[in-house]
Amino acid sequence: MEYFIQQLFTALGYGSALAVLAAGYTMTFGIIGLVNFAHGEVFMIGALAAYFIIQVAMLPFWAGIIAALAGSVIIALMIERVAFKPVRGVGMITLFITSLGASTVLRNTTILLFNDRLKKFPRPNFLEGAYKLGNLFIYKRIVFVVLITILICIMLVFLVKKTKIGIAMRSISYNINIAQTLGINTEMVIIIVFMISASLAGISGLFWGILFGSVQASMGALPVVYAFIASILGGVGNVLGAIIGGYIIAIGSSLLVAYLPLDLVGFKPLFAWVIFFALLIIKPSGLFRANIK
Amino acid sequence: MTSYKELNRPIKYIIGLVFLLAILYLFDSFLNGFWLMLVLMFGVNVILAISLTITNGWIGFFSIGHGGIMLAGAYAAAFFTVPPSLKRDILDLNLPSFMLDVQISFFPALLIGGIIGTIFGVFLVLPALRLRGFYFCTGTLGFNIIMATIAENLPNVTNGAMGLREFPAYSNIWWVWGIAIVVIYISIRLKKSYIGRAFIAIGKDQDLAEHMGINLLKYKTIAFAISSFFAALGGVLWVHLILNLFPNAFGLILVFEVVTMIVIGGMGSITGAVIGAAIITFFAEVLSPFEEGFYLMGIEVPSLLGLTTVLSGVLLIVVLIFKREGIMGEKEISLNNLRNLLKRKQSEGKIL
Amino acid sequence: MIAKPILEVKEVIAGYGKMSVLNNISIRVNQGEVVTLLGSNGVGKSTTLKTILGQTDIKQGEIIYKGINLLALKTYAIAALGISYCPEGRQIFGNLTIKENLISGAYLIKSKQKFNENLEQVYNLFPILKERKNQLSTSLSGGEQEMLSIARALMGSPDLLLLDEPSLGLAPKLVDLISEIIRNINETGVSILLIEQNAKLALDNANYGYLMRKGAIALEGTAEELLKTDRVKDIYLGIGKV
Repeated sequence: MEYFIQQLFTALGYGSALAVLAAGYTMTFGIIGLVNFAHGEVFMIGALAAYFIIQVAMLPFWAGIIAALAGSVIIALMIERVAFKPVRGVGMITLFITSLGASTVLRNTTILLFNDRLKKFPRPNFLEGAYKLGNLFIYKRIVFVVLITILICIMLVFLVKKTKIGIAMRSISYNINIAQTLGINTEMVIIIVFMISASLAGISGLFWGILFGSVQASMGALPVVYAFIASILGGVGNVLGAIIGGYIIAIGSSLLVAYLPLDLVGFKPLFAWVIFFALLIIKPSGLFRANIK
Repeated sequence: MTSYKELNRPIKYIIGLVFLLAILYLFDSFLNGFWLMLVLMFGVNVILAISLTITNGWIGFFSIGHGGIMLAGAYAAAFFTVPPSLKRDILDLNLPSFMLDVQISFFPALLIGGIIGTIFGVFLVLPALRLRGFYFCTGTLGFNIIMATIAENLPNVTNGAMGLREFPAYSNIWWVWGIAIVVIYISIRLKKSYIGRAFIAIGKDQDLAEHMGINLLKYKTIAFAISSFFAALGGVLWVHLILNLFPNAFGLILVFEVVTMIVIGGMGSITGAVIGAAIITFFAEVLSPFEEGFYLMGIEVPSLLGLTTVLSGVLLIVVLIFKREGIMGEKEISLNNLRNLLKRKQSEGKIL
Repeated sequence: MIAKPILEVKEVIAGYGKMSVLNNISIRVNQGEVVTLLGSNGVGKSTTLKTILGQTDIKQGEIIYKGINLLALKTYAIAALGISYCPEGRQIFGNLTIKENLISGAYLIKSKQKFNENLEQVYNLFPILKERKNQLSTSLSGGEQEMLSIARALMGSPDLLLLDEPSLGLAPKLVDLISEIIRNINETGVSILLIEQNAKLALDNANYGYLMRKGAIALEGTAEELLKTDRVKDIYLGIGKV
């Protein structure tokens, strides 16, 4: 029983990173129908930016947070300008291919410039250690990450449901032409969505570094796929759904691994894919309502 | 004196074939090293690009999962071509001796690889076929990861992450380009046949095709079967060219490169697939010394790993922005097209 | 009193991409008037509205609204000048509630007071929207959705309302209601450019009308003039020649 709970805690940490990443993913997915594989590289660059500022430039932790946000937003806006805007309106598959292209270019350029070795991510002192509850270790870093994710979740849901710009986003996702006739500057709203999405990716990258202690150039390749699956699980465009989806994938695959016989442990990544296929076959619109954000 | 145009069909084909065989013979005799490798890679890439053209270009079901299919075919063929000593020492299969000792020649190995690949391909794709457009596309993303994970976690069968070595170097110019030429021929005939036109109809408007009486499930499955067979052949040829096989051999990087080939060349066109394969293969081979790093007159040029992939990605984005249909679009090169093109250029010259 | 135009479309050639749908259209809406565009399907009526909103490619001509040339402006900037649009087929936001749809219509309204005023007005005009304000807009019937669409357009306090086929697919009783609503809106000072296939509804309410055919104006005149001509009937049905 204790083993189960301990595993659950670890999964909560991992899940928080996925949840926040997925929330950002589903926003661009929901609004402009963009399946953005370059999101993984935005995540990676956020993490790497924080790494460079804290570890290399020896600046304090809060500077690393700013670096993560700034790095991810800047790179996301660049990607949008170069790879997405010119082909907008052409079709989801083309956008998907360009995002794949952008992702490949960014990942490999980063590998070229900074190599793909693991870089030790400095954990700030206040996040070291754990609380002890009986025989259980409640790691401070996991508590931190989960709390921030809950905070982000509340903020996002409020943004989407209660603010004017949230309504603008949702109307654009339904019918962009009519939204324009209401006076909504769709161009600007889309840029804002990108910026929010990128910030979330940057925060997720920061979480990753804090939780796992290391970052590398290719770290974005797999998480983005899980973020994608989590988005579909939660209903495309549904931020709360994506967050829950992220936790489901993390907790599900961690628990699966914890209880599988040892030689089948390598099959952990398959959990997410089995869920994905099951989802596509049974309920492609996701567990929650799609398009409603 | 009859002109070339007036000769009847079979004779034209025979002349063409003899011509091609002569070129292959010349290549075989005189090429080696860098150029030989280039031509062989080109051939394999042509096969892979054509296989992807059928699914992504013709029936319009964009698959990025062919890597998994290639992996299945390659491992299947590998079992039969790898020396028995390797199988005994490294793998841990509870199979009777006669099965472990088997080591067959290339042709049956190719067939087995192709068939296994096709079975996997069809099996994997069937549940995803009812999905549309990009949902399908992302479903196929899983194929690669699923197959690679399976391969990595069955070390008794596949030697896990360490992979298999000691492959006999079967892929020479005759095998590679012989098969490539056959694949090209079949595809061109296919495109003009009823089946091929059904494929393209499905690609243009699935619902309309259904209303015209085309059995969607049947034709989509056939398309994937053919495509998987070609892809698996490509995988087997590849493995016997570079002489090793490991679970991540046909990952997203390779698939992405093949996607780039058909996008550049034009997704619906066989000629486009060939042209795209040529361009990317050339890039890759020319850039490979840069990827590994080398010494030039005493100065070290650092290893730029991933350079090819980066440039392919850039090229892909550029093509998608500026000429979305690719070089050939959906058209093929034919003598008629060339003749019309020449005629147009001539008349334009006269007016000027 | 000389009528002052609020909107002037001058010799516009427009379409989508290389294809031209409008061939030299000239239309004028005077302040406070209801002007109608008549014509059978496909002649370019909806395209005219979309062109005013800047959602098509304009190759030639001018569109002057309150003295401002709309050609250089993006759609949302055009909306900000006081033009509202009630599109063909309602096109409400199915993923939003009724109240949220109305909020989206008031996107440009800055003052909370004005927003509440408009909301009250719209709820008075269409009580059913108030009743169901927190339900998803897809729960409304066709006629009710049309009301929501008009209400959404009104939330922006427009000076010019572009109405595209409000009576399409509605039962006769609802068509009468629409007629009354158009009159009410116009009485508050809003100019209306109305597209209708229902010529009676259109000409009952309009001051002036244009008959379109194949992307051009075939006939124009006051409502009385148009009602008298046989040609209106003929051309409308596509039988006679211009």
